[in-house]
Amino acid sequence: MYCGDDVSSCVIDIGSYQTRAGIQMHVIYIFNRVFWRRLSSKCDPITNGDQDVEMVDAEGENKSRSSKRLVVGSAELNYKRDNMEIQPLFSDQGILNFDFIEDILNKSLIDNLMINPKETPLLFTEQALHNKEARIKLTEFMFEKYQVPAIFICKAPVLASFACGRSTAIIVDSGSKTTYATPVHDGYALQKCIIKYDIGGQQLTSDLRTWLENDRKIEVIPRFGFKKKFQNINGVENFEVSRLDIDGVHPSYLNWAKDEVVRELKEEMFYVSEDQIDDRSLETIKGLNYELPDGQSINLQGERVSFTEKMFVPNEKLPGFTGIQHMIVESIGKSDIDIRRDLFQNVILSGGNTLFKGFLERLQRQIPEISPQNVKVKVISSNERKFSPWVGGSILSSLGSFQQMWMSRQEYEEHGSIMIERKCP
Amino acid sequence: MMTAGMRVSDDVANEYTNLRMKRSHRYLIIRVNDDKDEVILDQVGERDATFEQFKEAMPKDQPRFAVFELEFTGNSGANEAKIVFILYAPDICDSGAKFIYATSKDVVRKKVQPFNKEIQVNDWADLDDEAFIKYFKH
Repeated sequence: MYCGDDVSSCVIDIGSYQTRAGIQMHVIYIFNRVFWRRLSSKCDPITNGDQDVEMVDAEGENKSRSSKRLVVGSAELNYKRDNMEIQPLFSDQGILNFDFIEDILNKSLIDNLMINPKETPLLFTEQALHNKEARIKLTEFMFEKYQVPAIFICKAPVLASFACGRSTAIIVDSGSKTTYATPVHDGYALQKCIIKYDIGGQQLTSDLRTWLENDRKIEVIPRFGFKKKFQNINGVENFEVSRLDIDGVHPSYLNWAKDEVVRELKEEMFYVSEDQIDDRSLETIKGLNYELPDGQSINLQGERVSFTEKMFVPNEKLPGFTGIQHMIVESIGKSDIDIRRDLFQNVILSGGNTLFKGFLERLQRQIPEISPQNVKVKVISSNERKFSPWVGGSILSSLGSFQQMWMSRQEYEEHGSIMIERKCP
Repeated sequence: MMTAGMRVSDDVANEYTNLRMKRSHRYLIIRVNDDKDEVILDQVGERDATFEQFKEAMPKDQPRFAVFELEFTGNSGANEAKIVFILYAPDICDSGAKFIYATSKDVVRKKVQPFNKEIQVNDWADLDDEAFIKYFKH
């Protein structure tokens, strides 16, 4: 039992696109304390030392550790360096890379939030599918490496459903890499009913980029690939764009920078069609122009919905996937018959990929078409759904009555890391 | 069940026994106290109160637990009485309040045993006795 009075704990929600970490104060949550973090990036030894003197000073101890230096954080990431290589935090199988997590935590906890991990209890969120090895490894890592006083691990869908005031609900979590449908009953994620497919925002972005480059023959130029100069010739104002040399950039970094440009285009222009689309309905969609950062203009019409439509129709790349609405109904169908009616009434959206306009309306329209006839379907979304697990974790850790639930350092020393399985079901 | 370790006042269990055994109340409204560490009894309904009176006693924009004894004519034509346990957490209130009620539902439920049906309501319009009775009629 960890009973510090007046503790301010830190909530960390590690995602494949960004990690959300924040301190909970006496108020329930403070959004400006949430730090957005890109994937861990790995940096090769830098040869042109001039520009990087300050950086080396700031992270000098990292450099002495190995010849490769890790750079973490969006500010550093947006600064172009030659030979900088980007590596994702999660492997393709979804396994956390513990070499990187240390740097991410160092950066976000010590540098950005300015807390001392030795004094601050940490609450981690984890994905819905139970992974005993991963949470034991995380517990050991945190207690041994950071000497944290207490830790708690909670499943993200459970927190999202509690944050919506429901203890029984089905959470549709669509993130950048994967989409989960998780029924939660009385605060337990029902493991046997979870359905997971590898479709998410990242997939849409890369599809869109392939289409832009192959079909539209548009070369996506990353932000560091050109220079814009404002000109005023005889009262005519325009920008002169000149290309810069980007040969020294590592392919993975170039790839990431291009994806960021396309991602912004996707977020700005795309929405989900109200109903299943066909060729005729595509023509009725309003065409809009979008200007890429380097001044190229793209006209988009039917594409504004045809890419997001991939989430609702069968996909040849994903065997078995027939649409998110089918995932939800199938997952409810696997659960106990007594709670199905409740689950249909509480479909909760979570994750950044559900922020598309019309996503909720589409599900609200299509689930009743394939669900049993006498049930009422209600799809719910909150404004904070982009990080609802973080919000839930932040509220939970701020509750006075929760303070007895932490797994403390003393318990770790007495029972070992296996205790986390008992403390955090 | 992940709970937030909330305490429940003894009044809740005692008055529930009165409702169930002595049939002296129609409904109980239960809330979390202002310090957010204990669940206490908020209001008690007279035996002859109706569902409308119960609805008037409930706050529209704040979460509450409630116990209500429904009386209706069952499938066989006989009069039936069923007790429902309600978690009312409206979508319009802030996530902090909703979170506390959702996490402490389990401890409250243990104090008001036995009841017939547990219902989760998230909208004022769904607080409706006709809809509740449907759970018992098939």
